[in-house]
This record gives sequence, C-alpha cells and structure tokens, in this order.
Amino acid sequence: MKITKILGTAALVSTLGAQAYAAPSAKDVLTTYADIAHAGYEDSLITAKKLQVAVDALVAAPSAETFGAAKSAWLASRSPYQQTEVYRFGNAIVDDWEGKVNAWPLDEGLIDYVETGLYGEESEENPAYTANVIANPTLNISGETIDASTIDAALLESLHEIDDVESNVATGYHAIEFLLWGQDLNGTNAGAGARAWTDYAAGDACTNGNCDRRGDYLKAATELMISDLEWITAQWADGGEARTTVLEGDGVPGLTAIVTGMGSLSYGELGGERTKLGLLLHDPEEEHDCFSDNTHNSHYFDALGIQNVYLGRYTRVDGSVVDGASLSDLVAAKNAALDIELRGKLASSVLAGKAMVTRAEGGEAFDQLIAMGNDDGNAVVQTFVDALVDQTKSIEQIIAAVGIDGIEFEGSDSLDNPAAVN
Amino acid sequence: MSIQFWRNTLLSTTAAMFVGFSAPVAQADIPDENYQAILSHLLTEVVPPKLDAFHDATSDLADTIGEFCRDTDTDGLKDVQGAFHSAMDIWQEIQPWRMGPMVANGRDQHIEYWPDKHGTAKRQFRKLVFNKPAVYTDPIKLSEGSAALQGFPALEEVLFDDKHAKQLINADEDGIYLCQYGTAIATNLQTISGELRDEWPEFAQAMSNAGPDSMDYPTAKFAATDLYRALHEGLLIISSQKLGRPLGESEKDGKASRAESETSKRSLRNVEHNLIGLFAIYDGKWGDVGEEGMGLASLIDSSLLDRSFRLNWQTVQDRLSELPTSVGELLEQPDGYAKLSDFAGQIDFLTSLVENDVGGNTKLGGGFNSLDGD
Repeated sequence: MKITKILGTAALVSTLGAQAYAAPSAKDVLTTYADIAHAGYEDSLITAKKLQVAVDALVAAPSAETFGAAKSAWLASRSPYQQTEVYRFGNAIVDDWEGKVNAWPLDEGLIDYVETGLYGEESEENPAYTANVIANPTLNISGETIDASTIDAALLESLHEIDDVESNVATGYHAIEFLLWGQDLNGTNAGAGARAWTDYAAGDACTNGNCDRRGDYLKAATELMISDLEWITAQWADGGEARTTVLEGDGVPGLTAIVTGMGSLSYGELGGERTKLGLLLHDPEEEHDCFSDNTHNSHYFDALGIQNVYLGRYTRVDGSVVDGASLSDLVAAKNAALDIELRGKLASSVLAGKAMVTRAEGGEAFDQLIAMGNDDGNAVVQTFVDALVDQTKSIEQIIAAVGIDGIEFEGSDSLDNPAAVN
Repeated sequence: MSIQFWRNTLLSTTAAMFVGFSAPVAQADIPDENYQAILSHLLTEVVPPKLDAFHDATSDLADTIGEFCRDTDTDGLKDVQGAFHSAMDIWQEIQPWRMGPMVANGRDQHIEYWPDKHGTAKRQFRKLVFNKPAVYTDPIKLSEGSAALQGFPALEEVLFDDKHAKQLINADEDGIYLCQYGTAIATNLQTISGELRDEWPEFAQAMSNAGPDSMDYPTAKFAATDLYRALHEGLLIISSQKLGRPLGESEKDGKASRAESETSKRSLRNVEHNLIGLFAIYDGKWGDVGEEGMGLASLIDSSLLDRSFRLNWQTVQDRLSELPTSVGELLEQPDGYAKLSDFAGQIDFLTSLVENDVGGNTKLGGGFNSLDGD
C-alpha cells in the first residue's frame, strides 16, 4: 500500500493566497468531508453487522434460504463501503488499514478448496498458494508450521499477507465473498461462483468436506471485519485521529487529501488497475468482485464516492443525507467554469458506471463485458475508463491551472508567510 | 541505501557549483512560448525518427522470425534473438514517453505487458500452449486478444525460454505452434509500431499548438506537463518496478525472476536504454537526433544547476555500465544485492532531483500518474 503525494504543499499554498470571492471556509469543507467519511464507514459497519446476523443464521441452520440471505447481505454491504474508497489515497490512516478489509486480488487457494485445472497447483510467488486452511488443521508455509486447528480471528490475522505476499488475503470482504460464492469457473461466459449451501451442511450432507471449519472461517472473518470497521469508524468520529488530521492546521493538508483521493482513485486505481487492465487482458480473473460477479456495482459505487466528496453530499443506507460545504463550492468561487466542467465529468463517470450496472442486471456481468470479441461490451467498459481519465485531467486543473483561491485560513503561516511552510 | 546517502555521495563532486542557486519560488512565471518551443522540438523533430527506427526494427524482427520458421536451426534462432534485442533496445528508449498515441487504447501495454503483478501472463501462456488456439497465430485476431499474449514478453517467452527454444528448433507439435504464434506476435508488433509512427504527427502538432483554442491542452505549459510527468514517472517505474520488484523487501526476499525481460537476461540493459530515452526529455538530444539544451533543460535558468543535473545523470549511467546486463547475473555475485540496492538508491536520487530542481524550475511538477493506487 502506498500513498503518492501528488501535490506539493507549496503549490497549494501559492493558490490559496488571496481572498477573491465569498466561499466556504476550508474548515467547513473539511468538516463535511469528515462527516461523509464517518457516515460511510458507519454505514459499512451497520451493513456488516447485518451480514453477521445472516452468517450466524447460515452456520446455525444451513439451507438454501439462509445461504441466499447471507449472499444478499454481503452484496448490500458493498454499496456503502465502496463509496468510502475515495478516502484511501490521501489519508494514510485509511490506506494503512484498508488492506485488512478490501485487499484484492487474492489467491483463494490459501483459504479453501479450488479447482486446480483453472487455478493451478502452485505459484512461484506464493508458497501458500494452495495451503487450504479449511482442510488443514496444521499448515506448513515456507518451512513454518502453523497450528490452524482452531479457526478464529487471531489465526486469520496471522495468515493475512503471510510471507509478505499481498495476494494471501485471509480477511475482509473478498475472503468472505469467496466463502459465499466460491470460484467463478465460467470464464468470460455468464455466471458467478456456484458454491452450494451444502458446503456448510452438517453430517453426510456436507459437500467438499470440513463444513464445520468452513463455517468457523466465515464467522471469524465476519467478526474480524466488523472489528476493523468499528475501528475506522471511530477514527472519523469527533476526536478520532483521521478527523483530527484532516482538520488540523490551515486546511492545506486536508484539501490535499481530498484531491489526492479523487485523482488517485479515478486514474491509477479504478480507471487503470481495476478496469482498464481487465479490458487489456480480457481475463475474468481481473475483476474486483470476481466470485460474486458484483464488480459492476463496486465500480459504480467507487465512482459515486468520488462525486460525493466533491459535491459534499452522501446519501446514507437509511436514506438520510449528509451534506455541507464542499470542494465544489470552493472551486466555483474561483472558477465557475471549471466547477461546471468537473461536475459534468463526475456525472459522466457515474453514468458510465451505471451503464455497466444496467448491462449486468440485464445478464451481462463485468467479466462478460471485458471478454475478447465482445466489442459492444468492451466499449461500455472503455467508456467508463475514458470518463475516469477525463475527470482526472480536470481534477489536476483544480491545482495546476486554477487553484483553490479565495479561501482565508485564519492565522495561517501558509498564507501569511509561505516561506515558513516551504 | 538511502536517497540521502546518494545525495551526499553524488553531490560531493559538484557541491561547490550549488552556491548561489535561486530558489524556485523566487522565479518569474515562464512565458508559454518557452514551453511551446520545447514541445515543438521534442515532439515534432526528436521523437519521429525514433519511431521510424522502432518500426524498422520490428519489421526486421518479423522478417527474421518468418525466415527462421521456414527452416528452423540454432543459428537461425540466434538471428531471431538478435533481432529481438535490437527491437527491444529502441523500444526501451521510447517506452518512457508515455503520452498521446503511445498510451492510447493501452498501446504501450500491448507492446509490452509488464509488470505482471497477478501472474496473468504466465497463466494465459500456459493455457495457450496447452490449447493451441488458431486465433493466436493470426496477427489481426491476436491484436484483439489479451495484451499479455501479444507483445515483447510473450515473444521473449517463445524465443528465450530453454524449453520453448528447443521445441522451436526441433519443430515438434508445440514448436510449430510456437513458431506460428511468435511470427504473429512479431507481425503484430510491426503493425502497432507502424500505427504509432503514423498517429504521432497529429498528436505532436496538437501539443505544439497548445493554447486557448485547444480543448485538450489550454496552455503550452499544461501540455508540457506531460513531458515532465513522463520523465518523473519513468524514473519512478525504474526504481519501484524494474529494480524494486526483484529487490523485494529484503535480501532474503530478492528474486531475479520478478525483473523485466529476465528470461532474455536483459533487465538492466532495459534500464540503460530507458535512461537514454528519459534523458532526451531533459536534454533535447537523443543519439544523433535533436539538439542539446532544447528539452526541459532550456527552462532551467541556472547553468550550474543544469551542469549538476547532467553530471549526476552521467554518474548513474556510468555506474550502470559497470553492472551486468541482467539482474539475475548481478544477484549471483556475492555483493550483487547490495550493488542493485545501491543503484536503486541512485535512481531515487535522480528522481528527487527531478522533483525538486527540474519540477521546481520548470514549474511543471505535480499531477497524477499511473502508479497512483496500489
């Protein structure tokens, strides 16, 4: 994980130098930013707790119904979480933490059985490629013997990114996703992972063995994710470290965090790593929610999250709205045309994401859209990439060409004495 | 080895020259026409002959492998491998110019898909050889397939992997397929390099004409940011990927197989050629093309700073010339890991000079790049 600092402090300071128009204070903008973060993570926590109820019900009484309810709860939990991803880049506390809950891609053979014809049996990079925790109470990874007889949160934490291999993802949304859907063996054809509920059944009804340990794993991973989400929610509450960090000082670091998060997620991560790469490789392994075929939603809500922080407005899972002074207000006070341009581009990327959702709901999921020879589907995905790249150019112009002038930071060295900041 | 170490070491030879530097913040704004002159020189005069050379090299590669596949033997394979190296040399010089037609529709990734962080190329290649789909022996259909299966790394796997090289020469079932597939890749590279060459002039013209009438580049300064970004990102990629991946987290974790082009044992030769292409962005001269001082260097208002930057760059190139051509050979030496780590530190130091001195004096620093994200 890393954060690339893209904005020199001096560059921002130089544009913050003069009061030109009435505009919200940076503190107000950053307060909205922190409020939305807190609401987003709290919603993620709320929906994760609903997932836990469903998981407990599944393990206690495995059936097609309880299994389906758990999968539905997982899908519901993704919507608020993905909208928080814009907080990763720019906020070190988030970036250092998020790998525990949303690391991707993963070598799922670490966790459970896999179809080795598709997956392979070994990896040059990963000694734990097919360790299969669920089937093996004792693990031997890189010469180290690990007691996995009890599957609990502590064991999963110890296995996460074991051997410094990032794809050893033992915890978080995607580990749980794999436990609920299993591998998607359909390639670029229709269909998601088809794990049967009987993988959690008791006695002779159990399929693929070790159903009790699979249930233990699912429960432990869910419990751990809730604990992690509780922690990050607290960091954005009043007095929390994340909120304090963005609000401290003259506002420059906080505004830098907003713009860094918007640009980095738009370009390198969502536009590049998670979307364009899949299109270039035409490979179903290159999709974010690859087991559940929920990638269209993950991408859409990522794009929506970027728009949220710019407009200073977030609709919570209960329908209530968190809003306030926004970066958009700041930009508009300096250059209304750029604000209009960026609003338009953000709306375009959200719409392009929605177009993928519509295709998926019509039976053509992301892995089908990126398939070789699916020119129409490829074009839908490419439109999303293009929109993200295009909005990045405007995000850059906020800093490089227009700046965020017109904001007065009370008692700020960065304004009164820029050399002190440099 | 830390950046600070290299700052101290490399500057020791030129430290006296830094006396009297003016701080970037004290500089006046740079007129837009100064940026325009750089854009015009680099993009319309310097780059096109290099794109011609790249197309010629890939054409030669396609011809050579075609000839080899008609009658396979060891000498013929060596000829193909030689043509591969020639094409890779010029590609590695062009590779850092990530802008316009170079990156449009992922063209640079189609030419060379690397790094392969998820092991996709190996997985897809394994399946390809097993299934031998005819579609991948047709260069046109190949071009519509996976980027990981249609560029230099895939061809390298065909030509330089010991097992595949034997199959090629023996012309067994796998060898015949690999020859057809390799020929398709080389033909595809020839096509892509031709498209790149043909599309470049329009892009170069648009960049050179940056101004209020341009939708994409409202100022020449904004357009020139792409040049700065290419220089900066190119160094970051050398450090974090080309050297950083094989270095890993520690000596115990070091692994040559994670380096670029390691199958053909030319990972550090790639870096050597990257540095040539990158320096042209700064200098304005690229081999026998262009004119010294007409790149970003023309915006540096201190001859001392300019000389210092050039000396530091030359120091890094000299150091690289003392190393073997591949990370694998270097790591086999007793102090190989330390040497590689030291060299990465030198690249990091150059990066810091670009960020602080070049970025500051040209006023082109900042912006997002493809490395943002994970």
